[in-house]
Amino acid sequence: MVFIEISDLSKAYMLGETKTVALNGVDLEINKGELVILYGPSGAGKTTLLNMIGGLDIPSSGTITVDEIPVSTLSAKWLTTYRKQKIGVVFQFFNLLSRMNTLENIEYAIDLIGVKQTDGSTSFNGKIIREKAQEYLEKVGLKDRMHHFPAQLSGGEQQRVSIARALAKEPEILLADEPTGNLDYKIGRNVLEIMEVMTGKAQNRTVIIVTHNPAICPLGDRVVRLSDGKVAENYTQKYTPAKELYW
Amino acid sequence: MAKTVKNIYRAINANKFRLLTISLVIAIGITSFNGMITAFVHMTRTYDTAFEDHNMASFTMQTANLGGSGEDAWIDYVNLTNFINEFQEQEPEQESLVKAYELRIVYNTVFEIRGEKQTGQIVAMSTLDSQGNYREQPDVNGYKILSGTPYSELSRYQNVCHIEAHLAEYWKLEPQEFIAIGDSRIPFEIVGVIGSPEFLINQGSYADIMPSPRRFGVVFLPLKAAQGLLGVEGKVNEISVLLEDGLSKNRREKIASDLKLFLETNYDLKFSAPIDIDNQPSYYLLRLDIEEAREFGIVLPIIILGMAIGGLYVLLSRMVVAERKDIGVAQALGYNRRTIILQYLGISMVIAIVGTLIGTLLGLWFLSYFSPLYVDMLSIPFTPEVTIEWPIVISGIVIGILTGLVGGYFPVRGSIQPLPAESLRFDPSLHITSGKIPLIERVLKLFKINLRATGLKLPLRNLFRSKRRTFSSVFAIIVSVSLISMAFGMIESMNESLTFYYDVSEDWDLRIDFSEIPTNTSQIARTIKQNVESVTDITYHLLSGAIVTSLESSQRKQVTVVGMNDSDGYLGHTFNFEAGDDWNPEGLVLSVPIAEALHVGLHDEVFLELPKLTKLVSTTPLRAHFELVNISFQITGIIDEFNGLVAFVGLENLITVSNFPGEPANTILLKIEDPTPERLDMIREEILAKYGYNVRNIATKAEQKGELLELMDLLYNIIYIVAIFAVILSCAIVYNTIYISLQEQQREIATLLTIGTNNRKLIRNITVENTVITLVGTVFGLIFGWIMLWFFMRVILDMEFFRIKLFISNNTIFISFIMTYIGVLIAQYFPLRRTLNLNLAEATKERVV
Repeated sequence: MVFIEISDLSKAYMLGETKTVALNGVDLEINKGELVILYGPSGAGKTTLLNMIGGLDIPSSGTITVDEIPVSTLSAKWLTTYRKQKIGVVFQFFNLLSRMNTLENIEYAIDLIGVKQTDGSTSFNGKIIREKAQEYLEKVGLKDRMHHFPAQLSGGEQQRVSIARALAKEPEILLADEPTGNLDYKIGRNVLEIMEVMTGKAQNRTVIIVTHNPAICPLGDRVVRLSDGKVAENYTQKYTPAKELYW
Repeated sequence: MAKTVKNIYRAINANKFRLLTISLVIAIGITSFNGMITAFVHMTRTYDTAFEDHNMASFTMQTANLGGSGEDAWIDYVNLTNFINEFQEQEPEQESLVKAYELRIVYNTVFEIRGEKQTGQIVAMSTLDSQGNYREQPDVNGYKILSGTPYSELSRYQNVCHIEAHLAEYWKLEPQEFIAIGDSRIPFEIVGVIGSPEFLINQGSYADIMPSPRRFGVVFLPLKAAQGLLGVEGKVNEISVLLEDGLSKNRREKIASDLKLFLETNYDLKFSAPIDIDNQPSYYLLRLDIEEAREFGIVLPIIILGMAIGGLYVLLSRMVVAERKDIGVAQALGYNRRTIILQYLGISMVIAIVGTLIGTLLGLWFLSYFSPLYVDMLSIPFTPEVTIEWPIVISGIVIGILTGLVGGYFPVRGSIQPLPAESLRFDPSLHITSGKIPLIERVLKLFKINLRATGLKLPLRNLFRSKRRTFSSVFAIIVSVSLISMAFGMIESMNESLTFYYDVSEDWDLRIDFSEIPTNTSQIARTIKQNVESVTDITYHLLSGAIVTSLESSQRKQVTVVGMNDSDGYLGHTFNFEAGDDWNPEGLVLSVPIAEALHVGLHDEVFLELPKLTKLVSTTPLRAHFELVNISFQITGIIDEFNGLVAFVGLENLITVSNFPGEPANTILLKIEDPTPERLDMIREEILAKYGYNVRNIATKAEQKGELLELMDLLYNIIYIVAIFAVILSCAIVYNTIYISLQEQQREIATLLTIGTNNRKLIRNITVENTVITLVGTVFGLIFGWIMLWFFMRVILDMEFFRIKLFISNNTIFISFIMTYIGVLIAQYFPLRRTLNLNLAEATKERVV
């Protein structure tokens, strides 16, 4: 079942006085629950594509449809709603709110959409939000660090908080832009393991990871290799668990 | 070096708009410095030159019974000339010091101009010199002919006059017109309009709290014509002496006192105390006024340039923090600390130099308007010569550059680490986080109040994120609120004091001032009450100038003494006691400024120098010989009211100690039933028809208040400009700090938008943050506003004539907050709009602040 449909997507922007084409007629289909690795060298257009899917940027031409939502034509207001309800983002530089501690960072994200109750209603109760935030912190193994501020955490810990924040909203799509790019091998692999656990098949969550590291490609159900703004390769594979990845 | 210049240029180009706002603040500071200080120099020089060129008297001595009759009032011109010459011969040391002297007549009288009565003074000087030859100008107290001609050789035989500029301006009088002088209304032809250094400000005496050409006009006559008019052939009543230049006040006073003693001892003449040039009312007031302008000209630029330093400090601090990694790279590449400091200091200096240049040019342009405007405001007939004062221009440039140095050097020096590694390790987004929960949040937690993450928690934390930036925003708000609250506080305080004075203290509708003192005032009052319709109550006072002396400190102060008729119940004066609680007709009630100046309090004894009748000439009007005697009074009350230089004594008590016959009074106050302007006009006509021969002035309370308000009008306009100025300045600073704040948070804002925070919530957060800053700034701003109000009104303006009760009302507090808040909202609009249009993809990757 096609969940994300990208058709003839192009993006060009001016870099100083030079016109740069970041994406040039990309066609791509991603199924629900797939773990996709967007792989390619620097400047291939992978982050631009990720941003388009996440509603962080708008294309110059072409269309993106996510779960039948025409993302490429949404107004700014609806893009915000789209990001809030559908997307979770893990950044390369973590981007935690420096003024909030670990727990509050996650609470902030949950507070935007509330907590779904068993009766189908949505609760914005502070206590319930806090419990859910604590639950996610526990999942990433940082419950004992919940009152620490980002400045008091290591890079790996910050990225784990970032993952917990992205997933605590229970988004249908998780986007991760070079999640290990700023971390060493050991910590990076640990981060991927956590992502793997938290986005497992049971969650039926679509995950797109951008990386320039070929060693991470085996993690995906599908690998899309970009080159010069175009899809150079697009193949499915049997995924390899994160703990078996080496680089 | 070329690289440094290039880097400076790039940094400026990238932040040009924000840097320009600080340049403009500096420009305004330098403009006001140049404009006001130079105007002060121009005016001082102009008036000093005017006094020198026109031989302003070093001291003046008048007969003891000036304006009266008999031997104490007039002295024979020829005799006096001989006596003074004799003094000079006997005291050879003094002879060389007396450059010239002039014997004059100074006499208060009435004029009739275009059918209307006007009070004022005639000043008469001989048109002949000591050799008997015709002269155009007197030797002492000369004047400048503004229009018309000087006196001719024949003028002394003609009824001709010169009109002082203020009076001419008020009535639009021109040469060849006629005015009638004195009770007998003798017509005099105006031959010229003159400007006199003696009357630069149209001030009759210190006691005249509202100098107005309508009440006090000066007409110059040839001596002979004046003698004829007053029936005092060959007589004068004043000596004006011009001494050698450069004598100290003490020396001048010594010579004046020697001359007085000589004349009184040897020739049995009686004079009042000599008036030194420094104490001459117009000269004194003008110096006071110029001094106030000078102090204002210093204080205002200090405030503005202080703001500029604050703005520069914050801007440079943030810039250095944001570029700390680049600094680390530069250090690692081999740039030394000095070069890097120079680069940032260069930015600060360029801002300061641009501001200084704009300010200097504006100041020079402003100058050609400021001095003439000031002169025009006071109707001073001597136009200052506008020249560029290079020492002031250079001082302004130095001050401007120092502003750049001070505002730039300290933040730059403090922020550049000695080791490149420290700078390279540095993450600005972590640096600006204290890692602590603000105290206020911890306190709220004690009360089980937990702020929501998407609620007020973020804006509140943001306030404590960068204390320096928050302080800078609060500082801008403090400046705005304090200037606005000070400005409106001034207006309100003055209005309130005026309103209280006219609506509560003075409970009358019509006031009649007599030229000559009638001694049957109660009879006049009864007649008016019986015969004039609608007069429901009437009372009368005796007003005169006097000197109060403290027994303890020997301090002296000139006051207006009101002999108050204590039988009138409510009409005369309702006191606002600061000490004491009841009117005692046997005692003396002083105003607060007098009590403060004399260092006296309740129940202390003071001397009041009053005229004591020694020989009665006529009772109606009261004409007599007087001597000045010091009468001891106990202070029974100290009052805080609008009229600052005033003392009250019981009328009966005053009459007794002064030995006056009958019931003398020179002011009658009327209470009118339904005092519509038409009715008041009708009553005025009726009274003028009956007592017009002796009525100096008849005015309604509304007219008197209106006259005062008109006088205040210009001051109010200046104050409004200060308020607008304050908002603009604080907008510029707030714009900068908000811009920096948003730039610092750019990555976080982008993150918030990425995870789904909507624009409305972001705008709310930033608005809440700025609202808290505005509220905190308002509290401190009001405190500073009050201090500044006190400082300007009590220290700089020091208006002892008007005692203004200072306060800042709730309305002013509200207006100050609202005006500043609107300014803040405008200032936050542009950087916010820019932030909301962020490229999220880029901004989430950036590590800049």
